[in-house]
Amino acid sequence: MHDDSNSDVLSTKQLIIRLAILLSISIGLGVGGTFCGLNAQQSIATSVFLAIIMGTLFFWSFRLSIAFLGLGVLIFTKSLNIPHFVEAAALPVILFLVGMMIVVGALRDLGFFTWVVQALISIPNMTGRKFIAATSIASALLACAVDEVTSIIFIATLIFQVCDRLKLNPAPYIIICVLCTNIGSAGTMMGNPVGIFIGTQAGLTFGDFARWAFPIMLVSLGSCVAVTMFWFRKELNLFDERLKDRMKRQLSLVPTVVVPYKRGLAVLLLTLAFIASHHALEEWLQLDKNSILLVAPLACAGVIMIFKRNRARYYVEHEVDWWTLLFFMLLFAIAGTLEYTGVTNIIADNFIRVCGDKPAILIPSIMATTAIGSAFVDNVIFVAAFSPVITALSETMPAMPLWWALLFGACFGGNITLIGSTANIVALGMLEKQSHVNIKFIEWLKIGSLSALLACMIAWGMLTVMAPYMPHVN
Amino acid sequence: MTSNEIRLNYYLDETCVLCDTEATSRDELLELMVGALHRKYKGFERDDVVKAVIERELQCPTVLASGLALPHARLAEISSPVLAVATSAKGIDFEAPDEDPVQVVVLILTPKSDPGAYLRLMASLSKLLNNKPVIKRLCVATSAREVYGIITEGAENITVKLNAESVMDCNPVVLDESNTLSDAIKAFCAHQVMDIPIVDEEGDLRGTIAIEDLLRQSLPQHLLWMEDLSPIENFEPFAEVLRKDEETKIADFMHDEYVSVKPDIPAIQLAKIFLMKNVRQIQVVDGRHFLGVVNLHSFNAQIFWA
Repeated sequence: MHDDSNSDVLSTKQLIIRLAILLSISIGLGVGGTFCGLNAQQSIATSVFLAIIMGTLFFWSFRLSIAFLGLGVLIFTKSLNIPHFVEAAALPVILFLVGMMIVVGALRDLGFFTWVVQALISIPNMTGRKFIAATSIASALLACAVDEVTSIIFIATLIFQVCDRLKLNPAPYIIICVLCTNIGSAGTMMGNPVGIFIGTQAGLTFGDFARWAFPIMLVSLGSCVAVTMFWFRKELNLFDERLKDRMKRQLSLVPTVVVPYKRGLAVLLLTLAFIASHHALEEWLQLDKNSILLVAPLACAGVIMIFKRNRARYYVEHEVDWWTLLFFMLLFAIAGTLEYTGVTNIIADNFIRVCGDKPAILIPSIMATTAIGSAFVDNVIFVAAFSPVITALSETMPAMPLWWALLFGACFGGNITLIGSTANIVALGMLEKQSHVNIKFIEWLKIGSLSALLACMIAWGMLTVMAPYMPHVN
Repeated sequence: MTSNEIRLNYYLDETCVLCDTEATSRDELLELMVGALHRKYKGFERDDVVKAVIERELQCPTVLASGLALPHARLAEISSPVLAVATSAKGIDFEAPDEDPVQVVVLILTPKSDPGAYLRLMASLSKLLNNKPVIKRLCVATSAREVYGIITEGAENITVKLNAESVMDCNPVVLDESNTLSDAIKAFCAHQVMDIPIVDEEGDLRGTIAIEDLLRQSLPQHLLWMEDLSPIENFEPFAEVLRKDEETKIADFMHDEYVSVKPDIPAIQLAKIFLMKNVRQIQVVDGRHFLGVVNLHSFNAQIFWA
């Protein structure tokens, strides 16, 4: 993933060259596909999807335009029709994200995040290691509760303030927290858009995430905290020295105040409780699977907007990232076309032919493919493309371990490069703006790939052990 | 004469030059200068004009640079601009905060029907007088004729451009990078300014601080996330800032992103910058060398409050 500024810096010549590469590769592969047995509509669907992938690589700021055009091409060529578009656009997932974004806006207004930050600063007998460990774990858990981007925005602000006071380069501490946030985002279906998408595609409940994904996330998080703190031990020693010196002079890190947090905490807990109880409620009320899950954040947002009616419009207009959600919607629809035209069945057959049909091989294969792909391209794209493949695979084997492999590959893979996840990009943008510090690609790659590799190995091992105990899902 | 050229001898009569005046106060001097103009030109109420000029000075002193003041008023009763000049070797206190006594005073009376006349004259006079050698020459002049000669000698060559150089404050409150938060608090309170440029030992502009930065030091970002801070009643954040004000260096919280212009930038561009960039102060620099500031308040006062 990339930042939104590349349209500003691209010269016309660069723009044309990249556009030519995008079109020639996507059309070339589409045409090539016809020689490999794909029919015309399958070729067009594949071409458009490749164009989206390359669009996010070469023209991140134009991704929505490319998605609009791609949808147009699919409709014109009868590769996709409107009813199927509406079905594949995953509107409930989009509305779930809208609801969560509004709840997050209210939580900020109500001082919940301020309280979290104050609590982290007020840790008794604070040391550098204790502070960074607590902050990175809090960042991961906050990502579970809200989402990774929201979490890193608040945690990064705290890191900047503290480093500013201690006159430290915030880059190492930001890297630690971002890596942990990406790991944490796999813990629940709220942590990352891919979580809720996988949940709805696979029919997984909040309880499934809590039982199977959360423990794996916790162990992986432990490994990430340990390895990153060892990697940056010199910087943490310096943090300790500066902190001791400041404490000696009886100066605090940042001013602390008593924050009225109870209303914010209540909103979060009620929302989480509502989401967590969706399965029981659905069974009790005999509703479709995940129907309450998907509307729970919206219902909570509705209540919030009644109580905070003077801010309701602000929440909807400014707290909801409509640009990204629109992109997701079109992306899901275009990925759905792959399923609609039968491309994903062909991919699934080939996947089984290459990797076999044994979970022991398929789990690491799916995880590795998604992790490497997510390191360079938006993980939602990979998950959207892989979901129908796993749905196809689920017809012949237990699919739940494969869904978790997809989830962990997509979330942990975001650690590999500095463009691997939205959280990385947001944090690095803040770092550049606040401290005028740029992290080199290779500098991130070393620790990022190490932490991702460790986390993926742990996830693979635990999934292999847990797989026999997992229930069957679609 | 085009609107861009001005000849000061058109507006200044030698009888309206008071060389090394005996006046000891601003008001006394202004009365003498208005009196001289009244004797020469008549057509206006002397006392009303004195009152108008003094009132203008009380609201916003017109001390433009070290040793120079340009008091002025716009009158309905006159049809063309007139000038009076006074010099004072020992200086006269113009009651402008942080300014030394004034040694050269040029009183400008312009007709209300020609608002541009004042701007042209002010720009022309600032260009001529906004440098120390000329002020020095005027101070040591021994006769009205000599003063008149200095003021009008280059007048025909003056091309009037109302630009940053002619409206800037050359002697604003500035601080050094090594000054502390405590120094900044004192400067803001004592001089009642809203923005302070920060310069280094070589006179290069390094950044700026604004009065809001004091608050920002007290209220970190995570407190600003909350919509309503009214439930927080303690003053701990402010106390925290005061506890460390002697050790917090200005360099730690100044902004190195500021709005700066070259001295020849026209006033109209300054007006646009004030509007579009939403700033109160524009830094005037030559490369990185700090020359002065144009403050929104004094810019407006100079342009509109003649």
